[in-house]
Amino acid sequence: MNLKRIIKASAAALLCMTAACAKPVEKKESVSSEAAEEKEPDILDLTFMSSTAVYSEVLNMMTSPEQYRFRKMKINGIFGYRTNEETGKMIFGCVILDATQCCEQGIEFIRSGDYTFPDDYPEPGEMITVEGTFDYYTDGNLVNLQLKDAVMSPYEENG
Amino acid sequence: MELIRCKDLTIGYEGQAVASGLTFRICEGDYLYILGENGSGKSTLMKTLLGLIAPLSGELVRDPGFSESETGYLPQQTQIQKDFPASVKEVVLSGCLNPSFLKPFLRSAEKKMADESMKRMRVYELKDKCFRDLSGGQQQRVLLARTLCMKKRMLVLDEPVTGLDQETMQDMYRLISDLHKKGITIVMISHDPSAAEKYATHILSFDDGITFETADRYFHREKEEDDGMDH
Amino acid sequence: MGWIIEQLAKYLSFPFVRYALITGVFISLCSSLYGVVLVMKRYSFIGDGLSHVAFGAMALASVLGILEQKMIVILPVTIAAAVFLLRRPQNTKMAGDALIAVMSVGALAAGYLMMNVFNTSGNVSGDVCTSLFGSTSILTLNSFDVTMCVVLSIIASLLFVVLYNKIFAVTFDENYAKASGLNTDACNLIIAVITAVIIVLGMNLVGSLLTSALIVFPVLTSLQLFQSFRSVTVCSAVLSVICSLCGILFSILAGTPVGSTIVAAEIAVFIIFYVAALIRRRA
Repeated sequence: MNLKRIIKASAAALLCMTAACAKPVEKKESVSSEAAEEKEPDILDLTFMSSTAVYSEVLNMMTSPEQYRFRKMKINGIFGYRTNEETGKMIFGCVILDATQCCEQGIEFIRSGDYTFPDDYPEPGEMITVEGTFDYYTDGNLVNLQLKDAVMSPYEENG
Repeated sequence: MELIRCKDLTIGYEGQAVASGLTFRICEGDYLYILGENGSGKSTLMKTLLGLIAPLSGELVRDPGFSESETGYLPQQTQIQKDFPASVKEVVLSGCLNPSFLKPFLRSAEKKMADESMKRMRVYELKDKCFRDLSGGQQQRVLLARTLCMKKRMLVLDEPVTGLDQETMQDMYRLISDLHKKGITIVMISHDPSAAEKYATHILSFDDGITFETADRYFHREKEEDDGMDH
Repeated sequence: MGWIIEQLAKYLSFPFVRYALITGVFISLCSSLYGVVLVMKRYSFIGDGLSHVAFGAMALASVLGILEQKMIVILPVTIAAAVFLLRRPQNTKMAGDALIAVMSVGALAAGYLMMNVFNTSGNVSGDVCTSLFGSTSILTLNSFDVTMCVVLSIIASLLFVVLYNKIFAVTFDENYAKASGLNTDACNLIIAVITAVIIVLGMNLVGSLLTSALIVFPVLTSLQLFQSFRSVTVCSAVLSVICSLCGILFSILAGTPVGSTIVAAEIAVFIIFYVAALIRRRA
């Protein structure tokens, strides 16, 4: 009887602690989005993540981009490009597929320095790693993600 | 002392009458047998007496000193119960349930009452066994223990021996008779007239119209009819 | 092994992973508590139908442009459907399961059609895929969703504890409970509402199509080895939480869809328990 009570009490305590964990984390998030620039240079490294996790985090960036603004980020993906019909400008992107490979999200990247296409860029479909500063802009209803001052390199195998 | 009196009662579900013109009374210490074919209205009458459904018309008067909580009920078993994971103890404890939403937990006094009830019905040794693993007779005794957890003046039983073998059936009848001898008023639905002859004080029959009479008169009349037919 | 721990540490530094684990624990806990009730009352089919209605409601929220607070639309719609389905009088023109089928399939079709016609996001099939199968739902909750899920789970779990004896009575023998003076209509209404709530919560964890698995599998597993209502309930809760945690962690480490991974874990545990029960019977 005593043992049962101890087990019940510990389970209840564990749950309370878990619930308490859910709340303060949210407050930290809202603080960090305001103080993002003052934060220590923490690179959001997504290169070690599995496809499920990366895709999810990129979706989070799409829905709440303000929380990630000006953060440095490192990401793996597939290289792709398109041309903006109105300006004739080329847009280079890093495409991330989800676990079932049925859906994809693209992040535009703008390299710092002078590079010419197609010489300094890989073939479309090749795996790349991009590191840059996160920013976004809205185009009507759609949110477009960008990595500015980006450094692009061929895909590095991460352990 | 009269516990329940019915006059010209019409019973049924949602406006559809199943039986009408019911006039009878149940006195303390009676052993009332309700006999009849399936569909004649026996279960409907039982549910009306228990307050589960409202009568469609007529009079149903309870003695003011006789509250509904003093009526025990042994319903027919449902399919759900046949595979429900519940220990005997849990089933019996559900008889000590306090209907008020403000009193959610069982006190140790109530748990003690459940233990006493299980001992009286000779199912205490089975208290940790799963209800669905018990035999038919044992299950009925557990359900009786549940009903008798709290003190009852009247016990309403809906076909308590259906599906039981002869020996277990007789066992069950003896058990109910013992309760009757201790002063509990019995109202039993059954389609087994042989037990009625042995135990009942009154018969409410749904065959050939509704008749209410003492058991003596009922069986005397039946015997005369049989003798008449023989000649 | 050390590699796994290192990877986990890196993942846990991200808030979305922490949110997912915490929310997952609470959702799987409260849904499994009511699992026994739903299975015994034969509500699993209704639960499946309700999850499709929830999908339809989500599609509606998406079309109305309030995806951020979609729970505000999904909850009332699903609760209304649950109350409608579970409280109908017995003898109405349309038979019970036909009505459920009609509502369920209708909601699914209408929802998908709405999302295609009133396309507000760039990726309809992705959104549909994740809401139906929960491939990334739990990892992409915003803070409003997290708060709603945790709060609702806690309320549902507390209600279960407080109403435990009454829930048992009403499920085991409704006629007897009613004759004892219990307000069985009120109890059944509460159960109907909570069923709707846990279906909606389950949608956030494993997706609409797999929600009934989340509710039913832990119960079926526990029934193999446990005999009393209390032990089956506790075992279901423990198994559900463990499978959800393992499922979420495995899917983010290995890159598999979350919903199906959790259900796969539950199937694996079911097989283990089933075999254990067989062995115990032989012995």
